Amino acid sequence: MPDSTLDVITRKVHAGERLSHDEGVALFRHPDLLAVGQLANLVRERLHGDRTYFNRNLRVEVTNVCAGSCLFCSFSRREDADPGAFTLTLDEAWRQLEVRMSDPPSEVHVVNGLHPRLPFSYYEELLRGFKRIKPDLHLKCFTAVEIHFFARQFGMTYEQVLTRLRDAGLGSLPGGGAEIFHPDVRSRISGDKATADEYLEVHRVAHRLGLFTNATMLYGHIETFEHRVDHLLRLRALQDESSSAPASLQAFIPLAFHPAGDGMKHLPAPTGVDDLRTLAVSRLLLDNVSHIKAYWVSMTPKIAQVGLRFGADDLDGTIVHETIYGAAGSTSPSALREEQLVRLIREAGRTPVERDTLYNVVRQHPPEALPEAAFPVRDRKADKHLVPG
Amino acid sequence: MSALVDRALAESGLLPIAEARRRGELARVEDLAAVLETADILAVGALADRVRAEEVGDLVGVLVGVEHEPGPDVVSVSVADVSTSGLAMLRRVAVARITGPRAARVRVDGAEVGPLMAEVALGFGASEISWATVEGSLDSKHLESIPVRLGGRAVRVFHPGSEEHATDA
Repeated sequence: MPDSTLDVITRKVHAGERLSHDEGVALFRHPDLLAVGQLANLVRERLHGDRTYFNRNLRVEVTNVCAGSCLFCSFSRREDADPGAFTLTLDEAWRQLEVRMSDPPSEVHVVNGLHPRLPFSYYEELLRGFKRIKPDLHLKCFTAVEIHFFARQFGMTYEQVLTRLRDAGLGSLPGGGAEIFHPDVRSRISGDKATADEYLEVHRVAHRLGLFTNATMLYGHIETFEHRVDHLLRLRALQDESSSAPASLQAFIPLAFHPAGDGMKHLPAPTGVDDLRTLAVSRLLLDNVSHIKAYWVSMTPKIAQVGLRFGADDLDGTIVHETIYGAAGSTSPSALREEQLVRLIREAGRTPVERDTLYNVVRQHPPEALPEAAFPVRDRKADKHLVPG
Repeated sequence: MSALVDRALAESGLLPIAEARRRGELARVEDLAAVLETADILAVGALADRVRAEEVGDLVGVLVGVEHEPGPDVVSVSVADVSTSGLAMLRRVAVARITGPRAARVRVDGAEVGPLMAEVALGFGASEISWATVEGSLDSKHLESIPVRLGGRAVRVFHPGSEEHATDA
């Protein structure tokens, strides 16, 4: 990309103007990663200053039995009797929260396989039970793909499904299941679940009902940069539509593809540079989405921390206890303690802010100067190798 | 190098050290090095990347299973004591490039920093990644994608007892 193109993009970013599809592709291709990162950081600091968000959340997956057959998935099992298949009883699911009540999360995040035989009442009672244990808990549960599956499975509209779940305690929707929207990719990697239009329609209906949602993108497999930009711009268009609704997208979360143990294991995983560039371009293109998450489970805590300088303003949460990426071979830990998240944020020179699911501030940690510089910058071991050349 | 990066260097107070480095005044660079500890990490990285491009070019060396002799032109950057902080790792790599000998081979240990951070370090002044064993090293598909990801940088892989394998930029 000629520098003049970056100059045009730079001028538009400074002026707060919307970037085009071609400019998004150009940012993915630009050789100077740090220049792209600086632009994204400018937008991030314009929106959030040094504030960096996280929450205290608990992940619960109640079943991995799934009628879908996504090529990239290592988590799912086709049948209850398959090795490794599980479906929790309601008591077992609730127990996962009960054992955390000495240091309770503010949010339970539930994502499951598309179980072909569980009744709808199971999901309603699951939510009610969590609320009985902790009435002020926020329940961020069921991806748009699950909502679409429930609608088809139980003969309801999206509005009926969401209304019944909201009445049972649902607070918002997580963003999973978006993968890549473009049909050339989606039909190859996850052709038997909700289409892009169906995924987006579920979010549209949720927003009309006052339910906030997140959105994701699974990147780094067979898609092109054009597919990624197409994906981001479809989300931007949805958010434009939802600007007059009582709720909207809260956060965008790029998810790095992990190839281990699934049907796409012949592909290389995305690299750290790809992780950072995707965060940065997402920040620049999604000018109407408030928050960009560096999801440390998918990109490792260290890359996520660097991502706080490439457009991200949120590290997600403590995430006790994630298993989907673990099944795909992620080497990230399955949980981080709050003090570890705070330290990662401080070392990035940012100010940690504990939030609830809807980005209300729970606790603002005081800023601390130069946390990254808590480490010696010069490497003594390297110094002894320095021979003036 | 874009005008954007030039502005970032100016705003971060890095132009004097950048000029000293370009003139080869390493003692002057050392005198000014304190600014590298607090300046914006992306600006420090951009300066390190500029120094790397000007002094050693775009070739990335990947050493797999070979002895890591320091050598007079090698700066092996250890990050063991900053292993919890990705940003501290990158700053250390960048500082090693900016304050190190001219045209140094700035090397990170892939096993120590991890494959994701090792590649990112190549954008912050490093020019070599070493792996003590083949296991856990970057696979060939990954290596071939580095030129695309880092903007036209070629990769040269060195194995013990075998011909080197190079990818085109």
